[in-house]
Amino acid sequence: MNPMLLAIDTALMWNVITAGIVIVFTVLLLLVGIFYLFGIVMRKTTGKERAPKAAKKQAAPKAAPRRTPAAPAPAAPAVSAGIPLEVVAAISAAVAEMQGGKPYAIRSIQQQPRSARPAWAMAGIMENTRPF
Amino acid sequence: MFQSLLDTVVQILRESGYAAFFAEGGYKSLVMIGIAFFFLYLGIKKGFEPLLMVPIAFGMLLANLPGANMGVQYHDIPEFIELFKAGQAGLVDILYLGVKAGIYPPIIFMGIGAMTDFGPLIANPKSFILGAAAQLGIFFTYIGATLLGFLPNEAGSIAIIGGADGPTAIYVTSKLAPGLLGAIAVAAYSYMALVPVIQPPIMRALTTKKERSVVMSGLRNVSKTEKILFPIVVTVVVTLLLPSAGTLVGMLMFGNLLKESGCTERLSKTVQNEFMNIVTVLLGISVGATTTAASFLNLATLKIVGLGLVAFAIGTAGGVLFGKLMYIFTKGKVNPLIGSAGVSAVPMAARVSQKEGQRENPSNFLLMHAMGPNVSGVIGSAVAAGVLLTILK
Repeated sequence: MNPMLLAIDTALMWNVITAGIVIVFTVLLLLVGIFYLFGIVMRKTTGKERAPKAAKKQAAPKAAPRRTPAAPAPAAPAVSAGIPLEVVAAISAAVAEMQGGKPYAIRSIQQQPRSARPAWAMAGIMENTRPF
Repeated sequence: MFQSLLDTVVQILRESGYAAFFAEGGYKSLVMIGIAFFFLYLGIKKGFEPLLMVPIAFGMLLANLPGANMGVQYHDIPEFIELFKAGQAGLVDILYLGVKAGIYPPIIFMGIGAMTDFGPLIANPKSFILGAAAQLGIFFTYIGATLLGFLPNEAGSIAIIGGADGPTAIYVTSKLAPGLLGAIAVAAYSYMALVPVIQPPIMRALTTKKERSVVMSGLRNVSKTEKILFPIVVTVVVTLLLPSAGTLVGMLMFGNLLKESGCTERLSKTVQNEFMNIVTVLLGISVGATTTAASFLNLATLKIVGLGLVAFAIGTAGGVLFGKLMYIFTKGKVNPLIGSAGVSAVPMAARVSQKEGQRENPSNFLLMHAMGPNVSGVIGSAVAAGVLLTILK
């Protein structure tokens, strides 16, 4: 092989190796730095959001006895006849999940007259047509 | 009348593929058909990356059936245009355009992005370092390929096998050395299937029992906002720094954004299922069809197979050794076994880390910790591909 060509290939070879390793490590180290800082910012942000809520929760039991010695028991929701208790429990659980810990009260559960299209079919149509 | 019928039958037999086996060099097609059967066996019976191995092997079979003209007949777009003008471009030639124009691999990357949870990597960004370390196999194999006489562009294509990422290997090779595409794709997917065989001995050789037994502490929860911002930030940072990596990284991150945004669920499902499956079929069969006897049955293929193994081994060793460094710097909080997952091969390489960790300590669960380097390896191999394309194209 031509020694000149060999020299060029060798130079290119070392260029590929050194540049490759340096660039790959630089890019990924840059990402380490960015997401490390990002994590710190996010923890601080979410920490600030949580702190006032936690403070409110801790303060609430102390303040409560001064105002009222005992909170009145919540009234049971008015439930239409014919709805089984299991369905009431399932609806209550679904509402609790959707509220995500926020205070809520279920005042009544009533059976609606059945529409021409079943609820699941309506949900399917909504899901498929919403983006358009 | 009988003589006429006999002449017609003889004529048909002479022009059939069977007769071509007895022509000069015809035995090579038979050998290639045997190899295609072997790869079909590996894919179907042994479960070697079947989703790609089966289409590739069947493409190989079609390409080597004499007379069917089902092999890819060109290496670059101008050649295809000539074929097309002459009316000689076949089905596979047209399908292969998606590989040659660099369309299929980025689409598959988009699907991978839509299936990948980058949460473990966001929770522990240090995992990026292990993903980078496991790319060392690519660059050290480049030396071996050059010393074995391959041209720089060919050496780069062979070296990328060390990234353990099929679409990346195909993308780089289609740009740098399309003549080697079949051999490199077959080697890359074969070794990816062999990750559970190749990696464990290297992992055990480079680590002590004490290191392998390290139980890592739980990862923090990652918020939805972080998961949404991750693909956007990575795309901007990487593409601005290395534009040639933008296609792969951009599509990977686009797929991930569809998954994480929460408002494009239907697109995400399409990208990670139907769309990706369609492209996988087209990619597999057209890559397989490049493995004609002339391009596959030569010494270069054997060298590629050998170098591919070296690339995988060095990549694994690089990841484990950097894992050991992290073990030292964190005073024993990082299990070095997760370093081997830095070669992409998602999620196989992470599963190997988990399995090896549990060999030493059955109550140790390294899987989520190993997923960090594993998905980082996908980004790392795309960046490495960008470097090779920038320098060698």
